[in-house]
Amino acid sequence: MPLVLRAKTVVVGDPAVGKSALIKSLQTDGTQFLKSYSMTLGVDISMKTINLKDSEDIVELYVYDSAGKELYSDFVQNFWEHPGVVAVVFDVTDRQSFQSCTKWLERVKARKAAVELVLPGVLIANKVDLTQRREVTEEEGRSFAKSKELEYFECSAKEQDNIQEPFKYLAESFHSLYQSKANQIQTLVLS
Amino acid sequence: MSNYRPPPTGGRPPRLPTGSGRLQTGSFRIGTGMRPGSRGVGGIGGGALNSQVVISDRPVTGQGLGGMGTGVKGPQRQVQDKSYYLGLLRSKIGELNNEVMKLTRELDSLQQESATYMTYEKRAEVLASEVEDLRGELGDYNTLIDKLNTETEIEAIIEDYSALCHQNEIESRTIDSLFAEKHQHEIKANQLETEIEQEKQLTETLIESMDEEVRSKYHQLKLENAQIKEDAEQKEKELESLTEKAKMLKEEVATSDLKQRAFQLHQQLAEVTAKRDEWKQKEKETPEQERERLLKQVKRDNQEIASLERRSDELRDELDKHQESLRQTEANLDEAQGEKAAKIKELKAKEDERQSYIDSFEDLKKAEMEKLENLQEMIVGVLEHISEAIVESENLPSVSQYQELQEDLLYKQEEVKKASKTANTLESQNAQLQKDLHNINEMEDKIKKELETLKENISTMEQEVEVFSDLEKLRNDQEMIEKGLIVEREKLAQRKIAVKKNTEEVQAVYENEKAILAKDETYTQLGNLERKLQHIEQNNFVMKEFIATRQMEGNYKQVAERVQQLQKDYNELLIQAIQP
Ligand SMILES: Nc1nc2c(ncn2[C@@H]2O[C@H](COP(=O)(O)OP(=O)(O)OP(=O)(O)O)[C@@H](O)[C@H]2O)c(=O)[nH]1
Ligand SMILES: [Mg+2]
Repeated sequence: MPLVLRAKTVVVGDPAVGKSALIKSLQTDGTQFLKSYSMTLGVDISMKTINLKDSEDIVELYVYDSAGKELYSDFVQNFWEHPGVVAVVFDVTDRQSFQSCTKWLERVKARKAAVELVLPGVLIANKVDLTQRREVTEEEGRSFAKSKELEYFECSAKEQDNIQEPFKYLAESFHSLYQSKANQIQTLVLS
Repeated sequence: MSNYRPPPTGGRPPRLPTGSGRLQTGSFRIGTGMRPGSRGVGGIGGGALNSQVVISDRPVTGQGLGGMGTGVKGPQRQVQDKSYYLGLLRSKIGELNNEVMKLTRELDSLQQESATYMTYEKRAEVLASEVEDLRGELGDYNTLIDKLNTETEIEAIIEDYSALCHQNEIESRTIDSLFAEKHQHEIKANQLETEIEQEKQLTETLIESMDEEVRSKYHQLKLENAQIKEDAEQKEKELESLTEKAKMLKEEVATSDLKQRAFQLHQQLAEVTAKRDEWKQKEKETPEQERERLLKQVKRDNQEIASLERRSDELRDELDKHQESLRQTEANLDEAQGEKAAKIKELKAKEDERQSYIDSFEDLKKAEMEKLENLQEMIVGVLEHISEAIVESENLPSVSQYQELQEDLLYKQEEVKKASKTANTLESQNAQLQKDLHNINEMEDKIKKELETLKENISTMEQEVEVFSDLEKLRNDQEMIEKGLIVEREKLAQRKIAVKKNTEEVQAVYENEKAILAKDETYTQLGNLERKLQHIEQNNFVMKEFIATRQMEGNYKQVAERVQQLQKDYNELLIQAIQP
């Protein structure tokens, strides 16, 4: 029987970088795009089922779309207890949002359980369709992601470009982490 | 705007319990991790069994040595035409019969209708007369109503009535008298007719009862009448012949000028003498006599004119007829001439052909002669060739030998064909066999691998057999595990109850809190403010976007950079040009 794993996916980033738009596109398989900005109040939770590449197991991503507004910062963090995976989003046309990424990542990491050593995560560079207004280059993004041990993805919610990939990656890495943990426990039990 | 997320603030609180619930599922997840161990053993066993099935199922002959299957024939014909068409015809005939029946029925009904129509017509006549009567009555009533409306006195009406009655009587009496008169007239007419009849009979009897003398005279007169008629006819004939003669004579006269002139003069003379006589007579005549004569002459002239006109009409008709016939004969003539012309043309064409042939005869002859010479030369050449061949033929093998050799050749050719065929088949067989060999080699590898896995399986199984052979111990272990699990289950069940209670309590608290919160004024105010903020942020974002796009549009940075670069290049060029 295939396993069903549930991963708490915390999505963070400055306001209006396109977190909610990304998640909407993910949920609707790229058929809908939130054109007008509606600020998220608190946290919106939704679920996305991901089928794995090399396994029959299924990963259910419980996506915590958190408000980027600093006003909600304390309130929102209450929801992040024991995060499974993290997605930090920034807007390539807004350098400030890129610089805030460190802050967001630290906040999420502070919420993870002490026993957890690694927290699989991705850095998503959104709005790459606005090439003319772009302020943050791909190289910058990549090197920053590498320094934080995050996988780097460039995508556009508007053009429905590369949206599934970061979440697939999160599901895969969550699954492999789970399996390595399971193996560890087994060896511990056997020895 | 917020249509995408219907419960933005109200939906937030219920997420808290699910968040805390996640903790438990997390720990449970790790517990299920025990599964892979037991799964491993089963997996290996299953794999071995599966592979065994694969070996026995592997179709060795199926690798290309199998015989050819006979092809499946096409689908059979589904329509047997004759019976099919017969059926079709029968159905059509049935339909036609039905149609005919329907039509006859219709005809019957129509006939009945016409019969009833007659009776209806009669009825209609009767009814029409009735209607007429009733209309008269209605008129009476109408006049009555009129009278009533005009409020005439009953006495006046009665007076009127009596007057009308009186008049009626008088009129009926006059009608009666008229009828009687008519009757009398009829009787009179009858009487007259009978009288006429009697008169006729009387004349007949009179003729019969006449004296011999009178009767003979009557007959004589009748005869005379007939004779005179005959006479008139004869006279007419005579006249005709005479006029003919006159015509002839006139024609004769017309041939010579002199005679004609004499004739004219004669005529003039005759006329003049006639005139003179006339004048002489006239002198003698009284005016009355003259008038009578002139009247007679006028009458005669008129008659003559009429007869002449009639004759001219006749002549005109005749002329038309003749012209028609003339036209027809002309048309016939034309046809005949057309045929002849075509024949002449043909003949002319033939003659031309002949002429041209005669003209070109010399050239043709020359060409033919040349051909002949060529042919003669060729014949000579061929003869020479033949003689050479005859000389050579003495060195050639005899006919029988030649035949033998040919037979030999045929046989050998066949042999070669056969050999090449066998070579082909051998080649294809070789390829087939090589393929088979390859397959077999692969299979061997697989079998080896499977053997290895089987061996491994055997060793593990042997180990397991050792473990399982100690059934007592196994059973004990099993029981231990079972007991442990049962204990755990009980514990968990208890915990479940506790947790359920706990959740219920928490739920109640939550509901309570929610109710309180809903009543709280600041909460609602906060919600409103939040929405306001959302709206403002949205506007803010839109403004920012607008500014950014506008900035993009007004971005001269690139242009400036380019200009600077160009200037730099230009300066460098200038410096280079100035330096010696
Ligand atoms: N051009 C472009 N616009 C985008 C893209 N993704 C999102 N947007 C726009 O960016 C605005 C912000 O979208 P949201 O997804 O609501 O932003 P958010 O990150 O959820 O913001 P908060 O909820 O306040 O944290 C919306 O108007 C989107 O239409 C993108 O890839 N390209
Ligand atoms: Mg949002």
